[in-house]
Amino acid sequence: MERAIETRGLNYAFGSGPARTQVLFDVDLTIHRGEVIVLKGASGSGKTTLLTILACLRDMQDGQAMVLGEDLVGASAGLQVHIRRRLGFIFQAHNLHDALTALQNVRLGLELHGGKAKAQWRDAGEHLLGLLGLEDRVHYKPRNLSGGQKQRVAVARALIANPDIVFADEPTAALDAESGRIVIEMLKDLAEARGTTSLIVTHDERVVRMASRVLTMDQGRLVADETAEKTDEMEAG
Amino acid sequence: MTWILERLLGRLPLGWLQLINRKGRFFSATLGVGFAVTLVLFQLGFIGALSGSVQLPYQAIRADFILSGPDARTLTDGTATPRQRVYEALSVNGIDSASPFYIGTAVYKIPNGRDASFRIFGVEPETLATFWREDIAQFAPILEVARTATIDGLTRGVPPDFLNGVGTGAPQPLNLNGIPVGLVGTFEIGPGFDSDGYIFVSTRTFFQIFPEQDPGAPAHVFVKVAPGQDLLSVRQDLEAQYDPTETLTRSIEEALADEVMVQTVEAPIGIIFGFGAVMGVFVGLVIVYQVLSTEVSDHIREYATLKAVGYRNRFFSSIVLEQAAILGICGFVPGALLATVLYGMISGATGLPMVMEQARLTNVLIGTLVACAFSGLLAARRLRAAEPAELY
Repeated sequence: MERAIETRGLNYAFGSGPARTQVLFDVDLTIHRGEVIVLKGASGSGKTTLLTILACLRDMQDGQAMVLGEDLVGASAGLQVHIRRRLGFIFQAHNLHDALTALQNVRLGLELHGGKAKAQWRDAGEHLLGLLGLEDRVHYKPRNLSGGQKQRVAVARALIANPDIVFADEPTAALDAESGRIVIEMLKDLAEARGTTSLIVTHDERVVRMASRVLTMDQGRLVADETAEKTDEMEAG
Repeated sequence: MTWILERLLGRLPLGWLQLINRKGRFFSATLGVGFAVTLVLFQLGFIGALSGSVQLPYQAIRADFILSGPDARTLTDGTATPRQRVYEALSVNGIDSASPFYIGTAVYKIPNGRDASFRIFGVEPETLATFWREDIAQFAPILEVARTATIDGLTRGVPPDFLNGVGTGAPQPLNLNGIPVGLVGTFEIGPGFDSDGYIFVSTRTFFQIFPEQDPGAPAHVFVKVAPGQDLLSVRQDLEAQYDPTETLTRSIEEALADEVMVQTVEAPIGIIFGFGAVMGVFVGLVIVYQVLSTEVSDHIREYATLKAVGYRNRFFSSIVLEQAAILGICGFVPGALLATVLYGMISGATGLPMVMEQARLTNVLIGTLVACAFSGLLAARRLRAAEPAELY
C-alpha cells in the first residue's frame, strides 16, 4: 500500500537555551493512502505540532519525515508550498473571507491550481456545496451564514481541489449532528473513491468511530496506534 | 466593476471585493486620497500660475539680449545697470539698437474699487517698436506726449467700464504716485502674483512718477542685434565689453529661465507652494498606508489560511497593490475634477493663468499610483505576520 506520510525519530522543540521545551519525542509513524486517521491526546500532548510539521507549516528540526513521497528534511520554502498545494486544510475557525460569497470562498481553494474555466469551477463549487447541504446558500456571504454553514463552506474550500491528504482540526466541532455526519461521510467517501488520506485532530466520538486508525499522543510521544474498532472495544471494556 | 477587474486580473478581484465590503471605510479612503490629489494639483496649479505669470512680460519683449546688474535674476531685483551700457553696446559691431528699461511700482485706487498695484515700465518710445510686441509698440507715437500711458487690458480687479473707456476718446485719467497721467490705449499681458497689471510710460513720464529713481541707472538695458548678424559672435563681442562681475549679458530666454527658477524654486512663495504639494503627497501616502495596513490586519487569519493552502507572497502583494491602485484611481477622479473646478474659480477671480494641463494631470495620476503602490508595499510587509502554523 502506498505511503502518504512516514516519520522516523521525529523530534521538535520550541525556544532555545533554558527556555527550550521539547514537545515531540521520537515519533515514528506510517500512514497509507486512503486511511482516515484520528489523532487524539490531551491539550499539550503535541498533536497540533505534529500536524503542522506534517502539513509543511513548520520546518523540521530533527528526525525524518516523508509526505507524498517528498522528503521534508531541509525542504525549501518552495518545496513546502508545492507539497501544501496537494493538501487540504480544515481549521477549527472557518477563516472565510467576509467579502466573498460561499462560492467565491470555495473558488479560492481551486483558483490556486489554475487551468479550469470559470464555468468549471463554478459547477464544481456548486456541486460540492450542494453535497454539504448548502445548495441554497452558494451566493451568501459569511455574515449571513450560521456557524455550522460557515464551517461546511470551509470544508468545501479544503476539498474542492481534490487534495491527497486532508489535515483537519476539530472539523465537526461547530457542526450539528447531521452536518457532522455529512462531513465525515464525505471524508470517508473520498478515502474510498480517491484514496484521500485524512489526519484529523478531534475528540468527537462520531469521527473516532468512522476512523480507520486512532493515534493517541501523550506528552509528545505516540503512545497508542489502534484501529477504531479496537478503541471502541477498549473503551467498552 | 467586479467583472471588469476579474477579466483584467485573471483572478477573483479579492482586493476590490474586500474594499467594497466595507463601504464606509472605502468611501472615507477615497475622499482622503481625493483630498490629497486636490491639494497636490492645487499647489502645482499655483506653481504653474506663478511660472506662467512670470513669463507673461517676457513674452512681450522682442530684444535679443538683456544687460543687467550681476545679481539681477529677475526683472525687478538686483543692482541697476549703468546707462552708459547703452552706448557701449551700440559701439559693438553688429548691434542695431540698445535702450534703457526702467521699472517701478505704483498703487492706484480705482474709482469705486480697491487699490490696484501696477508695474510701471519706463521705455524710450522711439525704441518701442524694436523691443516690444506689436500691441504695445503701436502706441509709441502717443507715448511721446508727456504724461500719457498705456495700460494692461487684463489688469486684475479693475471694473470693465473703466478699461472700456480707454482709447475711445479723451485720455482716461489715472493718478500714479500723485502724478496724473492719461491712459491712451490698452495692450494685453496679464496680472501676476506681485502686481495686478502693467503700465507703459515714456522715460520722461516715468521720472515724473518716480523722481527718486536715477535716470543714469536703468533696471536693465535691452539690446537688438542687426539683421543677418551671428547672435553668438555678437554676444561674445558684447560680453568682452564688460567685466562679468559688473554686467550680466543674457538672452531673453536665459533671463526668463532665471526668473522662473528664482520665483518657483528659491523665492518663499515658490517654496510654500512646493511644500504644499509635498504635504499633499505625504497626506495621501499616510491615508493609503493606514487603510491598507488596517485591511491587512483585519484579514490576517484569512491570508494565513490562503498561505497554508499554497498561495505565495506575491499573490498577497498583488491583492494589496490591487487595493492601492483602486484607491489611487477612485481618489484621483474626484480629486482632479474638484481641482479643475477650483482652477476655473481662482483663474476667474484673480486673472492668474491657472490652467489644468493634460501633462500635469497625467503626471499627478502616475504620481498618485506610484505613491499608492509604495504605501501598499509598505502595508504588504505586515503580511509576513500571517503565520499559517498558528491557525491550528
